[in-house]
Amino acid sequence: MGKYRLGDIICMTRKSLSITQEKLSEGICSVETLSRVENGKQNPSRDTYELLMERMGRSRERSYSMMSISDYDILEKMKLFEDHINLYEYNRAEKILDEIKKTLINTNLNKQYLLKSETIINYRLNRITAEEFLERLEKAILLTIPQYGKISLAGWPLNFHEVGLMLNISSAYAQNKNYIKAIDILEDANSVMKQSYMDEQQRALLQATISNNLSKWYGLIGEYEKAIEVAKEGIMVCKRHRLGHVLPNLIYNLVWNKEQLIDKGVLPPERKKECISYLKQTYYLACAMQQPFIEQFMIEHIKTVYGDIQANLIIY
Amino acid sequence: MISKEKEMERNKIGFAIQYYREKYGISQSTLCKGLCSVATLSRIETGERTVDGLLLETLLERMGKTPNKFELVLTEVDYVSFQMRAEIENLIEKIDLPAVAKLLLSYEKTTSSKGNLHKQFITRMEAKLNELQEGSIEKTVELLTQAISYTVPGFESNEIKDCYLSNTELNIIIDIAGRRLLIGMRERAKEILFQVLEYLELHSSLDIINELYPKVAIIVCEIFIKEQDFNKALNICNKGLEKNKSNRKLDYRGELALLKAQVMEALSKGQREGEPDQKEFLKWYLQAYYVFDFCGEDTKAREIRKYLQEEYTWVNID
Repeated sequence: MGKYRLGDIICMTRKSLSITQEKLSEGICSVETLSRVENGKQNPSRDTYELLMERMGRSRERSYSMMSISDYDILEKMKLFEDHINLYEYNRAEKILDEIKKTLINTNLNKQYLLKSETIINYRLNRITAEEFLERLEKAILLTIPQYGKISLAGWPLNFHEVGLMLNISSAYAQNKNYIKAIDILEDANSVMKQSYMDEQQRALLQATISNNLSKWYGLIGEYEKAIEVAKEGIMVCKRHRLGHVLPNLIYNLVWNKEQLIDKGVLPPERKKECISYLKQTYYLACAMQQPFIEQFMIEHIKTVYGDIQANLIIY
Repeated sequence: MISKEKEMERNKIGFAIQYYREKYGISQSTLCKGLCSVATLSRIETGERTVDGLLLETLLERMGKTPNKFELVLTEVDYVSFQMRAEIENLIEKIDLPAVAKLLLSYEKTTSSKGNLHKQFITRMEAKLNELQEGSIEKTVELLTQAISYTVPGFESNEIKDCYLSNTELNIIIDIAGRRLLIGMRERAKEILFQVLEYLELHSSLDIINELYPKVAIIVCEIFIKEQDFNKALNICNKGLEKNKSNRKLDYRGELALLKAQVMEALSKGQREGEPDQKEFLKWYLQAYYVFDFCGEDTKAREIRKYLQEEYTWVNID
């Protein structure tokens, strides 16, 4: 009593998720080490503990208990970094990242974080090519999954950040116009999600984003029916979790693919009516989500495809 | 200076609490008011390990931090009570009321000697239970008032802006105000809500504070509309929208859009000259309609649709 019980926490979490020691420890530490940690015979290093807990769905940014004093500053800075990235303020983000770099200790997890973050900034600021972008992201994921590329990651207990990296990597393939490869990676990520050990909210967030990208790329390679199916799945996730940030995009993907099927004569022209009412829904949801860029994009799309008169009927 | 080894042995959460407390310049007595003694907080900060997880959680939350609750579990008893709390909230979500009542009883036994925060949790859950069983609003208000009194005694007379409160505590206070409105205690509800607003603006730099702002803004805006003070209503509604901008969820979006529509409609009708500009507020009505419609809140969606059809011969909603 009154003692840290990290081993117990790891063990209880692992059992509640019915993962074997082998599967949990793979690529992080040896099975023997994990076993000793769980029995309380050995304390895990901070890095090991975090990796194990993350793989079981405990997110890094919220774990305080294993941190030393200087880390609280880093934690706050990492959050600030994310905020700048989300606001497209890459130069500011880079300044923050430089500060983080000075204080971060040298662990695989931290190296992965830095490499990924630097790469994203360098790409967005046009300092590296799409090929280099891809190459460096793959290097980052290899730091925690050395078998990456040799094995399928479907069924692997990936953590939030690793799935995030897979999303980045697949986008990089898509930037290089390799949609097939991009889809392969995301399908792997998707199947991980379905049986993942992640926190519900985090999982829903990733699932919605994955569905959005997948439906876009399936559409771009002409697999419209599949794209529609994936978009519908994503919309269901949004509905279940009341998520709104990728919802307008998802409904738009649904419509775009239906429009292609109408053009190809697979769907009858009467189905245009349905598309228009979806577009209307998309437009108002984008307004409600305060996404002026998508709002504008919807107006343009309706005008181009259905004409000004239709657009004026929908938009006030 | 303590050695690295010594540091590793200590309770790291204590460090976190001290770090943030000093960073934000909060005194020990302010932070722990109603939760524990200053002596206890000192012991926590220097690394005492036999500390109740719920207490640690609340101390961090009062400084706007949302710790992973699981990581705060330090002892066996803690683990059990942590699991029970999660299960009770889960059962409430599923509206399995008999099971909630039963589990609350055993939770009470498990934590009987463990202080105010557990009592607050139990009473708060009882209030939820009462509400789900459609008990009287007065009873809910009474239970919630009792719950908050455990850790913020005299919350009505005190200026809460001088305190540091957790999201749980703030939520209880907001819920009390919201329910008082329903039973005609508007003035007393208003007094509290304005204090909460002041608190939220004062502490807007704390991460989790912003999540609460839209919720309060909605209630306050409704009050202003009832009082026909549409300029103030518009002001608070806009603030709510602004604070909700980065929210990835659809929460509050329907409510805020509907209020904005109503306020703008009222304001445009009040204009003396010319035809009121319908386009602007109709756009907000439609946003609200589509959010409610998507979220399966059919009653609200239907109401908007009916209203638009009757007032504006509106047939253009699919």
